[in-house]
Amino acid sequence: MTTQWFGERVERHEDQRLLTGAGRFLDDAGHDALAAAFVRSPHAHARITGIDVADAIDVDGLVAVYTWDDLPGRLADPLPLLIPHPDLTEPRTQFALANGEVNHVGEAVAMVVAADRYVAEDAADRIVVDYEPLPPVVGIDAARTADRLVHPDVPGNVAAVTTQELGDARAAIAAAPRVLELDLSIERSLSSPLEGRGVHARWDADDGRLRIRTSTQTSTGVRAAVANILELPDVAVEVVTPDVGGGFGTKVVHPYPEEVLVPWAARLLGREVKWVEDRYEHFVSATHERGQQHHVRVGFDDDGTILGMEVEFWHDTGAYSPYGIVLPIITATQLPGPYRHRHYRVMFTSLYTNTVTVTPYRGAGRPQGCFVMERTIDRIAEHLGLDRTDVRARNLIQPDEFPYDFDMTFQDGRPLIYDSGEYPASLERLKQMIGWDAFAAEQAAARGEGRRLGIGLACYVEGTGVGPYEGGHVHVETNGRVMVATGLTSQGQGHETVFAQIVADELGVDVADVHVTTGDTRRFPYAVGTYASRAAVMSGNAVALAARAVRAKAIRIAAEALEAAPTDLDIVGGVVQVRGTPARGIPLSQVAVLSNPLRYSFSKEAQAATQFATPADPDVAPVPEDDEPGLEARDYYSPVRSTFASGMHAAVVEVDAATGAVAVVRYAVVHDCGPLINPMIVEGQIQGGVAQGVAGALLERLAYDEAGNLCNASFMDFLMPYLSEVPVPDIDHLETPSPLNPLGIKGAGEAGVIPVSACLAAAIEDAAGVPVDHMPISPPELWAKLGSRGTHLGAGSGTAEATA
Amino acid sequence: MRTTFPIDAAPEAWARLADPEVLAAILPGCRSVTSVPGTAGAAGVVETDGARRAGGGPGTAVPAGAGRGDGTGLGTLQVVVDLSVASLRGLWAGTVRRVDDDAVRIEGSGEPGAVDLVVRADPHRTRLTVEGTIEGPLATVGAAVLAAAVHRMAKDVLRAAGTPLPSVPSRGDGFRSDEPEAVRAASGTQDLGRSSTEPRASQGSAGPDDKAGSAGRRRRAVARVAAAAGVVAVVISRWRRSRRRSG
Repeated sequence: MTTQWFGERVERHEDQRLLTGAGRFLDDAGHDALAAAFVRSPHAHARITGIDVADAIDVDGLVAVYTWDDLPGRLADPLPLLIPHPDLTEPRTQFALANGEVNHVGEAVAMVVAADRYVAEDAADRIVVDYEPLPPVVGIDAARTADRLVHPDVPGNVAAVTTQELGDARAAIAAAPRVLELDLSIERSLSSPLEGRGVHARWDADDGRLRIRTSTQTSTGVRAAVANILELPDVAVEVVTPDVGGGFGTKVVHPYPEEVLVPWAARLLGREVKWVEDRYEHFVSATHERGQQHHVRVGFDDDGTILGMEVEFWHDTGAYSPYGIVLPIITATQLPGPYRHRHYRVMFTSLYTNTVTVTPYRGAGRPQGCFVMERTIDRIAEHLGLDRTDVRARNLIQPDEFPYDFDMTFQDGRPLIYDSGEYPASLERLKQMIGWDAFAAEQAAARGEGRRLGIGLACYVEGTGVGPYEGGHVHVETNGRVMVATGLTSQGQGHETVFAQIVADELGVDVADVHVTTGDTRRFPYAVGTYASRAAVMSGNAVALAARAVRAKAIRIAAEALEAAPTDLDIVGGVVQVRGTPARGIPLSQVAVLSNPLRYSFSKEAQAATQFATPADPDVAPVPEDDEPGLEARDYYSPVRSTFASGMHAAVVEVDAATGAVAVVRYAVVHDCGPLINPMIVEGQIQGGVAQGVAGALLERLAYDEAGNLCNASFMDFLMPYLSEVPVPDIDHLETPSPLNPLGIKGAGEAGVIPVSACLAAAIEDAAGVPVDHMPISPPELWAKLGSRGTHLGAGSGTAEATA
Repeated sequence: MRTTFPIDAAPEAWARLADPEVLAAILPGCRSVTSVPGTAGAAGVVETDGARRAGGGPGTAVPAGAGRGDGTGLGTLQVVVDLSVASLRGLWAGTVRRVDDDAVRIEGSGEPGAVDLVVRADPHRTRLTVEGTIEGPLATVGAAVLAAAVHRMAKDVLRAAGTPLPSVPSRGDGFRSDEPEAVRAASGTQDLGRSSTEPRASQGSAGPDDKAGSAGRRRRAVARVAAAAGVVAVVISRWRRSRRRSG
């Protein structure tokens, strides 16, 4: 194989389409479709005592109004529990439409179908739902207190309690010379993709097929769920994911109520039906994440070596638990980061609240875990008066310790074993990039000018490429075009480009000749989805394996045609040729013709494959038993366990003591996701992740009041960063290969966001001299902290209690 | 479907419902009501303009009260209506048959779908329960919409039945005030107050209504007023909708 495209900064194939307005997003389909709108609960917790549509039926253009009473069969059951777990003892999932009770503001109560969205909204406004309000449970504190219950049959609001332990943490802490306890928390937020959710469905009565377009992260998941709920054969449901304007995890939930209701309505009415989420709906009905409270006990020695660590945390799962307890499991198992732990115990409680359901959002439990681990190390350093990087270096897992087994179970149900990494090298590189050793002088000089600069860093490890599998199909057409299909979806990551790079290298063709389709169940029906930084690892390896099979077949066929030994052949520039004799070759397009024995020619080139064109061995069938017609192959990649990427971020910030405003002065990232398929795309992922992380650290939070109203459910009040508030990070890569997959690659999708809150908290603390144990931190909050600390010089710890 | 709802009807309204002529006048979208021979009601057709024809033959006068049954209440009636529920509109034909003193069964089919419902009043005549099956397009609009439509129709009919006949235009009350004229024209529905119905009403001069000429004139005058009110309501409704959308 000649490596030509893998590792190159190939411009994204999809950008020509997306940047010139030629993208086809969900709302570009179904212009003549009926429109759906939803009546959503204004109450966080209430019984529904009546639904009166009398005023709505006067709205001209109204087609239908559906409530739970209309839902047939399995559609009337609670939606699927996507990821069961033995410790999830009280799973609860919502009904597609509320069945007598609502459990969060925004829960769908009724579905209106009308001639267009305006009419549907008008009719929805006229529907009167009578509610009997119930006391809401809002926030983790209220859920823990359990004076009120979200679900009356769930004691203590507890969905699940899980404990995992490596060694004997409590004994190790008891024996440690020094112990610290910390309380740390992260607030709830949401991902805010540019494009919200949406679904368009059409029932083709002629062939009994339901054709669905949905802005999802898992087309095959939607297909399976819809087929099951609507009791249709799998083959009768086709799901196509068009261009998707971001997902960040929230679109991996499937099916959302709308994703099954719209197809059901389309089939019932025999008309196309479409629903496109508006921004308010995204705030109150698309899933949230992040809200967790943590209590830490850590034992360490005088040089900062961690001897034992115990973490208990409380996870807000919102009103329902469709995604099981994967999120807190990720926090629990990724919290140890790149550090050597001999004794680690983690216990979490997943709690129901009367708020929007929580499922993964980019980072998925890792930002919380990283925040806890990194704040803990900073506290140890502060307590001992040591440099923060020194304490980290002392605890890092060394390269010769891999594979590093935590004796715990990861989110995929497989062992938590780090496969490879170069953590000490990453730390050294990061210190150089941010200017760590010289910063003390820079900080002092700034202080002399009345400026408060601070520096912080944070390290993380990210389990990527979780199974169970993905597949790829590679087909060389007789025109030489290489068609690649994989079942997972794309939300803007650049899959069309990186998968093409992989296949181009494997087949020895120009990357421009490779055309990739994702997320279309008609093209590839078996897949899992795009989430958990898994697409490149899973489908990248799958298409590579499929391409290798095609390559082998192409060489075998060409060897017969060229009367050469297969071992003497190579594919260069789309031509199978004899090594050292480029003139003796046959284009892949012609190999594709020969791969398909023909009775009828369809072109001049195809005549070569017809039955009288060449003398044939009379004892060999045109298509031998162990062969198939066509130059194509399908293969799957299924890993034994996840591969672990890693990275470290450092930031210098300036705090305005007069206002509490925080400005990021510089930001550095060292990232290691193994061999880079396309460095430009990886850097884009990191930059986007950092932007999202800065937003989560300084700006974005979901503000619920005591009644469970989301008070900032619009972009007027929910603060997203402007370009001016997002740093352009200085990025460097290490490329430590994974031993677990053929390409040696690791995932990169979520990495950028994971350590940002921890990193900025450390930097703000260093600049302002006030403890930062809770993120995000707003200027008024920081200003209040500064005010409580008088002159606020010097770093301090307000909440850490030390015992020696 | 099954829906139960309170009703408030004048006592005399129930008796009037047994009169095909009244029913034809007050049933929203009604094209005709025909008493089925051999049932409790005598044969005859009552069209929405009030004309009555024996045996369904056009222009044939029948004695007054011929369609009102034998005093035991409602017989079996054949009903043809232009049904309008949400966006569904279409001709529907069926029968209304007395089940017992408190209930009638409505069966029939048409473009909007097939219906087999029992409408039962409680002994105090304070609640109605409608129960049965609905198939076809009507079954796709949602139970809440069907229930709302049934409630409205029942209340409109009972209210109209409780009103002295001359003041009941057969196409005004209970007819959707915002239904576009074009739809009405396309579906063949007519408003009593429209001039196009007057010649047909005049044809009925040989019928029993002609005996009360002044009452007929009064009725037509009331109908015209009702029609005018309906037009105004449509205009206002459209103006409001256009404001909402533009706003």
